[in-house]
Amino acid sequence: MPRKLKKLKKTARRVERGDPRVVLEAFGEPDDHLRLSTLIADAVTKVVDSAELRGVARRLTDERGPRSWRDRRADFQGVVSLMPSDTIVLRDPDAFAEAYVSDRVWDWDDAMLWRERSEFFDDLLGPIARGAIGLERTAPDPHLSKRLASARVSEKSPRVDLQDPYASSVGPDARGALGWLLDRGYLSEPAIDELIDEGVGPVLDRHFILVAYDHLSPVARAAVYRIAVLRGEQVLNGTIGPFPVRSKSAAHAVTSAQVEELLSCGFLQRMPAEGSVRIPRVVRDVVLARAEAEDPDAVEKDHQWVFKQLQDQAAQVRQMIECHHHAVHGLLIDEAVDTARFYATDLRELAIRLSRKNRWREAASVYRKIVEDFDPEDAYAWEYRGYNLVRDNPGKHSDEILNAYKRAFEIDSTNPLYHGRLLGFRARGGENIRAEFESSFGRYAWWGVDRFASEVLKGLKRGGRDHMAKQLIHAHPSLLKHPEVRHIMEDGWAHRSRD
Amino acid sequence: MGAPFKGLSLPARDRLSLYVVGSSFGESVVIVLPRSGVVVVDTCMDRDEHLTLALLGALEIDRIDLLLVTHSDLDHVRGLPALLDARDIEIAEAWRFPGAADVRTLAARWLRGNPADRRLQELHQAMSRLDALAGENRCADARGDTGSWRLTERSPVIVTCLAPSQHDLLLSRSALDKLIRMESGPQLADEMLRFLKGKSKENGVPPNVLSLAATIEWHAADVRLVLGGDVERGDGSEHSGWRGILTTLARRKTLGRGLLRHARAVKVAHHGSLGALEREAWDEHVRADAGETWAVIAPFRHGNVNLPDAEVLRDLHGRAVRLAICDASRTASRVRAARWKRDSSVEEVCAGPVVALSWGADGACSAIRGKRAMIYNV
Repeated sequence: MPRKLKKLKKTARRVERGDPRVVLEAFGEPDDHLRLSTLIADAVTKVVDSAELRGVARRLTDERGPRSWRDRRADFQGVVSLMPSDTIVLRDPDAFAEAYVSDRVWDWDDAMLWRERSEFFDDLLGPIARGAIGLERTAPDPHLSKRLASARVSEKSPRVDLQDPYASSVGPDARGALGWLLDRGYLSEPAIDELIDEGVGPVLDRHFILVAYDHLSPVARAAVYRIAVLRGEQVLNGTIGPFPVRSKSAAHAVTSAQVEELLSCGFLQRMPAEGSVRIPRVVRDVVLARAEAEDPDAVEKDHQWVFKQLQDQAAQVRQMIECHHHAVHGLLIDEAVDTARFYATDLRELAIRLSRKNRWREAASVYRKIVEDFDPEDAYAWEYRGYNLVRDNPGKHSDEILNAYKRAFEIDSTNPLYHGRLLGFRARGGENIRAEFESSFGRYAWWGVDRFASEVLKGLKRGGRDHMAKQLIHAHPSLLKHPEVRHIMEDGWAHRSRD
Repeated sequence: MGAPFKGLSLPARDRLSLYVVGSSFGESVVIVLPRSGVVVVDTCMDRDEHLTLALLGALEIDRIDLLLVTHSDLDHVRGLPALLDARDIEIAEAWRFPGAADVRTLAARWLRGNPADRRLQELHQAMSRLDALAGENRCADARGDTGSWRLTERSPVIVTCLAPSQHDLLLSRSALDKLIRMESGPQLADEMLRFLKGKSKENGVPPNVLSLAATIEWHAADVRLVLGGDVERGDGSEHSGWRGILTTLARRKTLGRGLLRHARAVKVAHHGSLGALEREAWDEHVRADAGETWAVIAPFRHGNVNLPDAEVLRDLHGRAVRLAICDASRTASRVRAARWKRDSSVEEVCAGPVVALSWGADGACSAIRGKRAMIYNV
């Protein structure tokens, strides 16, 4: 056996033994900040002696407590500022950091979520620095290090052996897949060295997972599609989460042969707790994207199955959160609304998914639920309540639409997209918005003028007011340098597009 | 079966025989090994006629020992499901390009929005059939460092995969990953189309980076064939495309660039496009003192694209190779303009667009062609 492969296997065993203190995990999903803040509070109520601290923490795990990040943040700051050393270990904060330090072009739509994540991230830095929150990092060069030099991972983590030849290049979550690729001869040591020489950094973890995915048997792939709907550690004792493990395939079951293959290729990782396994975060991310691209209905059905298995047992905070998550991703609308207890981030996800399926009225009603029951100051929910009602029937809901767009812009009055939609909808109804357009135009000159103008022009064209749209362009010809504006001004755009 | 190739004689048992078919859209290669063994590269249709199946039928071949699927372009996989489903042909083992599972997933996703799109149906079917074969452990993702294949330990012929390089694999897997993570909608469909055509700016992946290429060597007879797939020049780095092949081979302890050297025949990469012309590789293929080299081109004509490229024809002319073009009717003027002279001495044995070359143990070559094919000399 090659020397490097031997060392790699030794590390894999260490990873499997792992660190028993791990409590919480980031998944890189939109609800990370609210879910983790709730779970951190829940952990504090169970392990901390201070009655004062427990009292503050309990507010965050009480269904009658604050339900928006804005209202919860002060309590969360109180919890983490008083939390003693080594209270929890946070696994994979980089998943959260990646979602926060997004590579995507700035999108006004995400502004609220982006800001919330950023605030949560800031609130974590102090407790991490003083050791109240320990870290278990799984990526070698993540964003977190840029913000917090003392969080330079893994050197202290039992999941990383610095004697491992790939310790500085490949994260622990990809190590299982890498070992399997080497073992099976799918990758050679020179090939790995060649890739590492190219200096691709964290991308390398994902690449090794992708190559392993390519070599996975189709039956194992089908099993990991199913298992990937689960989050966090799962029991492996006749089941993986609520999926029974059987020798032969059956509906909603995975076979023991599939599990063996997934364990051997690192797509399932044994954890320190007896009989416990988890899908490494990068693996889950890779697999879920493919499962949803391949057959989104099957993924929905798997979430529905998991929800049904969990709904009667969800007594702990963590279980309640997971149960709600599966109702949302299974598109079980009533169940999702019923199980939303602490915050509404997942309901937003539900509404987005409904909207993508052209179920606009249902999406709009979910957004209404968010602003009525969780956060009346949620600009995004107001905006997309209006947006979905427009798509459903603009004539029938015009007062509600106008009200929703107005509320969104009142709350987030620097958002050119929200402002543009409001003005566009008024223009569509025949209102003369020229003066307001001109007076607002300069505000967005530095940022977002294309989004603002596009929405106004769309409204004008939808309302059959092409002449006014041309006048605006005539007054501001520089708008035509934006492709979206050019596209909207094409003849027949209003008939071709619902956008 | 076999009508376009009626008249082709059965391959001699003691010879290495190469058949290249091309319909001016697709291309496919069948290699019959000495003693026994058949290698097939890609599949090709001519309208509704399955040229690969027709050729296999004419040659009375009922078993493919190694099937190579070089990449996902329809001019290379059209007809693949029919070949994989053919009851009278057994397929022992296949090598497919890496990332095929993701191409299938993307096709499935795109099909949901365009269920009537025939090209997508074909692509999805082809990738799904390959996946089913992988499920039976009879299909593996291949790369430039996959290693070699031989029918048996004593088989005189070795097949070695040359491409794609690790660099190109990283480049293209990452691009496919981005596509998979894109939200559905017209943008995804447009981007997918651009990606498949190698014109994706956002994903920054040059064309055909996933294409397999291979050599087939019969050492005892000193015969080496180079099957270029659709490998092009890549992204310009030393590790991409043909440069990547040259770099990787140069680092090998044994044989190295020798794998490209003194080729008896080269299936010209990417239908003879300028983007696939790597002169340094051709410098290796052709040696004036090493006997003749055949350049075999399966032309391609679709939309504005018309291959082989005139400059490639001129470059090959300067190398004094013999040129064979499978479906020559639409390329005649370009070939003439590049000063090639038609060689009428090669026997015309069937109607189809095929060029057949075979070598005996002494390395001597004999050639035949179909009516639609043409042979040229310098």
